[in-house]
Amino acid sequence: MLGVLKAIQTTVKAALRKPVTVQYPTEKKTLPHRSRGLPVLLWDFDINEPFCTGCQVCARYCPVDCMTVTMKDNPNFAAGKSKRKKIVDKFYIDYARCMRCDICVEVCNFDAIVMNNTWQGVELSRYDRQDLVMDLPALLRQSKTGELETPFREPMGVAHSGWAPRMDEEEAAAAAEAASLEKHHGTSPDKPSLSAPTPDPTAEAPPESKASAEQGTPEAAEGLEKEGGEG
Amino acid sequence: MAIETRPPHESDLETIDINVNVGPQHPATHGVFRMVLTIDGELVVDVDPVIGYMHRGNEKLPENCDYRQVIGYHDRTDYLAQFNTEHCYVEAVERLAGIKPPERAEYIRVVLAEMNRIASHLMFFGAFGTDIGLFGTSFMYAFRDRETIQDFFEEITGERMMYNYFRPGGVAWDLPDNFRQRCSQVLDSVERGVEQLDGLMMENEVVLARCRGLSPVTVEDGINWGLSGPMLRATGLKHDIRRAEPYSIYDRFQFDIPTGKQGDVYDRLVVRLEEMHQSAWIVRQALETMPEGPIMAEGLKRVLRVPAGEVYMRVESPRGEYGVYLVSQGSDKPWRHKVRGASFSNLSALRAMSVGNFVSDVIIILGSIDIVLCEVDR
Ligand code: SF4
Ligand code: SF4
Repeated sequence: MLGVLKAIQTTVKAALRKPVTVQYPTEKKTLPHRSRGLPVLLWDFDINEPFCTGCQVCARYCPVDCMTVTMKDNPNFAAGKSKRKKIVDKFYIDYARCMRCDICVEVCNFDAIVMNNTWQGVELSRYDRQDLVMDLPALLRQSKTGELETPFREPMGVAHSGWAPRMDEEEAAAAAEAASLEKHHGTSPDKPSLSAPTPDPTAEAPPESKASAEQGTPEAAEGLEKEGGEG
Repeated sequence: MAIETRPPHESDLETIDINVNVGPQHPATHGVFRMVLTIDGELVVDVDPVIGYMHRGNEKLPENCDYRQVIGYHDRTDYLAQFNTEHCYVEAVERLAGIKPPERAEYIRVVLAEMNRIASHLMFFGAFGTDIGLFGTSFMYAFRDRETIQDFFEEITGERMMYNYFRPGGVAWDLPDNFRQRCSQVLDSVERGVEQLDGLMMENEVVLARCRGLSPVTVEDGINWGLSGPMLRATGLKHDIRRAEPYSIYDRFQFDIPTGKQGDVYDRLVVRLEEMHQSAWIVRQALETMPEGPIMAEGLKRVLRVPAGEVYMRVESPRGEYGVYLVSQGSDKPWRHKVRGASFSNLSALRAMSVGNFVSDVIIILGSIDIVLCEVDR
């Protein structure tokens, strides 16, 4: 009997304290800086173009294959305004499939993609799941309008998590060009590790499957990529 | 079987056993799990567990993934003990590849894994309270504190559940600045919550009446059935992989291994409740001695190629022995990737534990196993 009284005492005590819940649509909890929403692209305000060069590294490393990226020549580079030879042409992320794993952010060599850490993302309740396939303007919107004030990107994140060594601007541009060459010709001009240009010459080449992924259109490449396993 | 419990005048009637389906969509089955109960009146004479509704190919999928992409799949294997499962996987890869994670990373892993154990046991108490008829009360209490832990994890990893934070060689990024103070604050508040849960449940007449002496398991049976974790410790056997085969840096911490006496449902509760206190103790010790320094091993290549070989790594997850068996053929993908789910093995003892009990008690017995269906089916 005493046990029941003790239980009731606990309940009464709990009834007297303030509620811990937040009434969601009207009140929102503050999100931590590192909060990982869905991935969005960043806008380079200095040159007025996206940071993304369309190098497809993220698309290849995405575990669920939810990204599609294509690349084009950068008109701003021809006009001498930008250092990026290549720039993203089309970019699709299927938010319905994304599992918010952060891998695309970690592998991107150009700091072009981050996880949304605000509440003002894309509303995920839709009537048709096709509506959740985001295109380039939709992905850039948050960064362009300044909604994404302080995206979290660990300064050493890439190197720390062991994905890729940092590249400086020149190497990055070379990488972008090389990637595009490889895409068009299906071969690599000099370096074995095109998608992963590393300053370290002893670094290993990317997995074989990556090379095969280079040859087709991005859509086809995504399919190929996962079939290239050794097992 | 067990005919004598019927009133005498009924035994003259001709009765038949009937089959009752519990699940797959049933709140008492903790996921999509089906039990076909053969009942004789209120007595259960046979239990046929049907699993597989949650099968997603979580063992096969990683065989087409880069070693670092696999981590996310381990979060989804046991979605209540993500850090423990990640810990198991990254240690397996590290052992195979010969990577030594830096000291600080090891501490971070232990702190987070132990916090995760508390969160998982809280979830157990919440769900178990619902099973025995405490309705929402224990659930709300436990979830309030679990939420505190999840908020804390979100501050570190950015995610509330699927953290994807450990990496072969270390952890993805460093802890926030105020980590130590914040962690002890969370621990304090959670421990207060555990006290409340203790007061609400452990001496509660309802819990005592329904759990004490229900389906006792002997040590021999426990071992023979392949039980592990709190289920095995409740039988009285002091077996904890953190002690029996210390991995990571668990040999540096002091903690007790709580055990039960007769392996009944109540003992399982007691063991889990005490484990939360022990985990909190480990976290406090780790916080005191956590060094500064790098969080990622040096010299890792962009593409992680693991030398050919095989490894079996096991950790003490909140549910028991969680194991990962990896076979590498020297490429960047595991050639074989096998997971030993603790709940799967524990669940296989369900029939032996339930036959001869009442239907309502079988629900409690199932609840006390603390299954996570994603881990059972994988
Ligand atoms: S890795 Fe970065 S630069 Fe390359 S396509 Fe992805 S977002 Fe763009
Ligand atoms: S967060 Fe993960 S799943 Fe989502 S797009 Fe990036 S890599 Fe793909």
